[in-house]
Amino acid sequence: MHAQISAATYRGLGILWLLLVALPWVMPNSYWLNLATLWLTNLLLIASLNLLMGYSGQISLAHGAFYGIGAYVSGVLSAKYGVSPWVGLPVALVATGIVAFIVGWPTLRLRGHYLAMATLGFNAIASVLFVELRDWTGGPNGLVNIPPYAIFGLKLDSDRAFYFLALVAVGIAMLLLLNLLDSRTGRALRALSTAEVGAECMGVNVHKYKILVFVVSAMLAALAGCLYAHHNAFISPESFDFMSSTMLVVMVALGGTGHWWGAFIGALIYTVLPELLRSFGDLELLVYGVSLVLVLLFFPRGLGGALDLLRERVLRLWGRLRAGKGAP
Amino acid sequence: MIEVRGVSVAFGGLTAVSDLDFAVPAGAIKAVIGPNGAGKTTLFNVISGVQAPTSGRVLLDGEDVTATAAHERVQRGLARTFQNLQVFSGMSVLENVVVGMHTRLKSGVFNALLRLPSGRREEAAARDKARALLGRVGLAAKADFPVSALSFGDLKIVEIARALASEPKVLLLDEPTAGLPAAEAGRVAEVIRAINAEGVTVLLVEHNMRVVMAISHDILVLNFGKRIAEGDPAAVRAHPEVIAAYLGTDADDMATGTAHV
Repeated sequence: MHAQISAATYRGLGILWLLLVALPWVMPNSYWLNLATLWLTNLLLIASLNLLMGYSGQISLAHGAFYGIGAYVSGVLSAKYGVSPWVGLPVALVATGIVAFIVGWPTLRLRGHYLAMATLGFNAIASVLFVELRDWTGGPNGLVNIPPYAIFGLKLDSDRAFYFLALVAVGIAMLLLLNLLDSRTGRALRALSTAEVGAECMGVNVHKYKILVFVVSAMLAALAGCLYAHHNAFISPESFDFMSSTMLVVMVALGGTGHWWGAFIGALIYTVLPELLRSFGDLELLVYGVSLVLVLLFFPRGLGGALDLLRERVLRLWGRLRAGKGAP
Repeated sequence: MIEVRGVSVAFGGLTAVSDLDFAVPAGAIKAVIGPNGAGKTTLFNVISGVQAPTSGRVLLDGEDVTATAAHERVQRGLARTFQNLQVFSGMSVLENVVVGMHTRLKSGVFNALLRLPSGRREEAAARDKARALLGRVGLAAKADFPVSALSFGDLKIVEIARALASEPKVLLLDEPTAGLPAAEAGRVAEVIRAINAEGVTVLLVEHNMRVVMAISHDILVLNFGKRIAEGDPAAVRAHPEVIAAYLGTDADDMATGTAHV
């Protein structure tokens, strides 16, 4: 069920990031570069939800809310109070972590549908607050004039500069995620996701680990929120509503729950599909729905799992061909 | 080592365990036998902390652990296996065993995130130890298999290795030889005896009478959640109520140890 983390996974991540460093020279077009930046933040969102959902077996319909809390805390601090986004970043992460802890403590005692419903309720509350705390958030019209990140007074507001910032930030986050999965802690999480009673009886404090992974996952979403807010310079409540939380869950499933590379595929679909379907208007949702049903019907392990199957087949075919050549 | 005092467990109107008292002295191998539904697994769940008793207390090493969480009991030296398996399905056999060492490993979440050398060393040592444990129970060749590739019988043995990985003082085995062919069952019995010889107290639920009679120092017989007999194998075998409870199994089968309940 869970793709094994190995040295090859680290190598794959390294190679991918080297290729991504070259991207601005291959695709100087700012439309594509902005799309790549969006893909990076979406990757962080989906991979962090995959940590919770795929590797730890806890469904959350509040990932969009944590994404939003990160974006709003850092955005409001910088736009309304002149706080540097670099200070806003750790404040947003810690604030989101604390909220996740308070939400997770009671709700993570629930399982399956009940956990989904409780987190859904929390997302609804957060959405209302984003709209109603008008003096801070700008209400339904959104928060404007969010300043970009700057280094030594140099604003990172060009597409290329921000792309590199996102590349570094998401790269570090993905590396931390990989480290976490490949450790005693990650093993405990994977254990409790498949056999909760078994994990508890092997000495894993199941409730503690569930809260831990909920908080870590929420903080990573908050990091994505900060990047988004200071890149876009504008945020509004509908980016963080129930619909966005649901879409993130869908993307984790499409990519493959508990599949490391599945999150990369999910993020790609989440980023590119709306662009492709823009001309279809409301049909977008229908296409999403139908494609999800089809993928999960034929590839229950998501597109990541489907690619694994394809690779196995190709390798087997290759082996047979070589064996055939060797024979007289 | 383990003391159960006045433990009752009721699920609604059904009483699974009824005012039960017994003790497992340190260093013993004690078996709990009885027909299906006698309350054996419920009793294991109470001792391991998965199920809170309706009333009564559980003592581990003289200390009351009735209110102690299951994972903390592991820290204190209690480990168990499961009748219907609780293996971690996405992992290799080796990884399953390493999970058993959870309470004996130290590296926490920050160590993990930063991939510190101390954590990597601990990890490598844990894997070596898990491999050695699998060798001991005869599964070394399957260490790197995904658990989904193993038979039910092999998985029961994986659970024993995983429980041993927690360095227990008391080991609870829920039907350790279920699903195993006779030769394999004999080998598991030998492993249990060897574990016990190293000072681990063993409490087991088992239906294979040959195994029970061969390795137990002491047997507790339950029926409908109540004790009907307790004592050494010879005494239990001769007990009239035990023979009556095992209706359909005649006394000769009990005596020769071929009864399958």
